[in-house]
Amino acid sequence: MRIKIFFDQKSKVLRIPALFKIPHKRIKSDFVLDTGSPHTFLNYTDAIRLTVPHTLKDKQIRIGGRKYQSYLFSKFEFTFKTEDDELVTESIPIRVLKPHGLNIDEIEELDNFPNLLGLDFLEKGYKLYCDLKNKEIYLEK
Amino acid sequence: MVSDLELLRSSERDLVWFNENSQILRDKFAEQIVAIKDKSIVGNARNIKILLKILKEKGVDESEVLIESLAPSNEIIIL
Repeated sequence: MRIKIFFDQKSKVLRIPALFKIPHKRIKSDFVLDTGSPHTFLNYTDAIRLTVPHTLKDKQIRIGGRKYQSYLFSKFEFTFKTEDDELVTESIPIRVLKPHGLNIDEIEELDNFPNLLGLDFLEKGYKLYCDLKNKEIYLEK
Repeated sequence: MVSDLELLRSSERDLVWFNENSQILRDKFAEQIVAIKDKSIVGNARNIKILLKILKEKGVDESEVLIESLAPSNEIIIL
């Protein structure tokens, strides 16, 4: 089973369309695949859309010189579409970032931060095939 | 209610459209976040709270749009 990954040539990032789900809500979104990230992160924008609670404090995360508090949320599922038009749903504890203060620049910066699919997802047994030149990029299980 | 599969198919189409048009969109909506539905922009704003308000006023279901941020053309994303 293969999940197609899309190469955004302008931003030079790998994107995967996905549905994000918490109990009683789902939203249309996408992940940026980031093998440099140990964890999977839900961005501030989608955390607000899903109304994910900021209750279980986790590690502090440093990005671009700024420090953010992360919160762990475990009732999170996401669904991908395979190349055969089937659905694959996975569950993984996800981390949400929150600014320390109410500084509008910090909040808007977090709005621009993508959802990251990290190494913890690949640890679930997915193989990553990446041939950028021929635009053949996918996850396989 | 739209099925998960149909929502993902539309998500894929909108993501491809976003990738193909990202330069034009970056020029027009730099440093904003945009809501995409059926290969068109249905809302744009400086932050998510304003964007959600705009979508609500327009009667657009925010769960069925793809929301992407647009960095200026002279910026690159390093994760």
